[in-house]
Amino acid sequence: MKLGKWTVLAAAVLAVMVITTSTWADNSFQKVKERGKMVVGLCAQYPPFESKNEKTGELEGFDIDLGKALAAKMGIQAKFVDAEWQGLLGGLKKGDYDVLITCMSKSETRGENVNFSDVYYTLPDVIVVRKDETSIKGKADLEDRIVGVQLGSASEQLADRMKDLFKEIKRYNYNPEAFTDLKFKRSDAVLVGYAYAVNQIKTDPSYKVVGEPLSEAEVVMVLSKGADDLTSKINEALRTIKKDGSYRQVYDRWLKVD
Amino acid sequence: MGGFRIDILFNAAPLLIEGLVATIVVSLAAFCLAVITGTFVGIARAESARARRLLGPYVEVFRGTPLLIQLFFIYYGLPSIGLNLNNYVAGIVGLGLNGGAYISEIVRGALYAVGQGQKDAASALGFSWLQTMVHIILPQSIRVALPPLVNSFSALLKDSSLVSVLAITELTRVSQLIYTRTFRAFEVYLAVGALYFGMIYTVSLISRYLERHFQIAGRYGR
Repeated sequence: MKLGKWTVLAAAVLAVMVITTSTWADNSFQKVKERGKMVVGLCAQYPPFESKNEKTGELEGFDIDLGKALAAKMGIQAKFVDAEWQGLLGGLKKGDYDVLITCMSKSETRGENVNFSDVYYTLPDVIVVRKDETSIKGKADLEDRIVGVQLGSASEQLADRMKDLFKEIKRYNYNPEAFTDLKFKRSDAVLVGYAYAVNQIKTDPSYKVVGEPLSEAEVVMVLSKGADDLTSKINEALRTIKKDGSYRQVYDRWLKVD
Repeated sequence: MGGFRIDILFNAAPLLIEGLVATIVVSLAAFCLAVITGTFVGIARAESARARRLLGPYVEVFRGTPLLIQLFFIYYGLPSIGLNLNNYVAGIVGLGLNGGAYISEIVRGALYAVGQGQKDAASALGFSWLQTMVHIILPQSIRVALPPLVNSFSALLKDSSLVSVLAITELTRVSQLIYTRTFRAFEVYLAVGALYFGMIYTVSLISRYLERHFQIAGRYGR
């Protein structure tokens, strides 16, 4: 009995030590807090999530407002840095950014050793065709067609999984190029996130979305491996803004489709 | 659709200027570094056989690998061995060392264009090595080096578009950002192309003046 008590006590002490060291071992949040600002990396070529307003030169979009709302809840400021999509994960690893908020899905990190926040948005991938296209009504009609996707995107991974269906997969550095090729009939369809497609059609109404969504990507914020403290603080802030309605506000402003 | 939408360019003017300034800053700084490195390496390799061997790998490596790989390596690779450069510094160093490798060969070739007899004559007259270089060899070499140097500058200025992978918002990156929002490939890329052309043409004009300045009577190039 006496031994049992000691064992329990020892186990308890050990447990406390493990818990405290695991939360205090990394100073990821403390570092951001002391600096007073969290550096957010993104690639501003994905409206309505993030883009640079060509008139004001300011970054804007869902991810920007989300980042600001999260930072405010954590009592700090958010600083946004635009970079090329291909350089984002390298920059995170190098320490240029505290977090990537750039509509990145879990699979888009390509198994890099990183931390994920909770899923903050679920983005369906859809088929976009020219407005006057009548022969493509859904996935089955893509057989033997040329399909465009953005390099390194979840849509590209989706296309690769279905590659036997297509005649060819055209890979572009960025979505705008994929859409231009579609418009000039050098491809038959583009696979892309739904929100991007809607925004695209608003700017240039020569496209339409057809068929059922092909898959859903889990969009997360991406942090350095081991930045557990900052990750949990961000998750906490995400839960708070979901509860108090500010997430809804940001969502309605950028992503609501009428 | 339809029509040339000049208003898109007016709207985006501040953004274009921001990109233009970044491109100019990075290119000029890199070109200065390239000329300094290239001159020293070129002279050293022309003057001493040992330096030619010792510095050979620098020239071959920077000439023999893609600039994009060099930039990725300097910025994203070197931190693994403790050398963590700021993105502008990394961009300028990468572009500058790459340009320096090419320029060193221009300098070496230009020095070889001056006859050995002149060097012998200078030493017979009691000129030191430095005096021979500054007063006799270099003034004649510069006129040979000028046209290929302008080539190097225009190549470097255009290559500066690659530093956008280091999160530098230079002119090409700006054009992508505007295109993402406006979808006007024709206007945006035409305007950005014109800006690049303007910068390089300005340098061509300056070099034309310099060529006339370094003109030597009785030699090719009137």
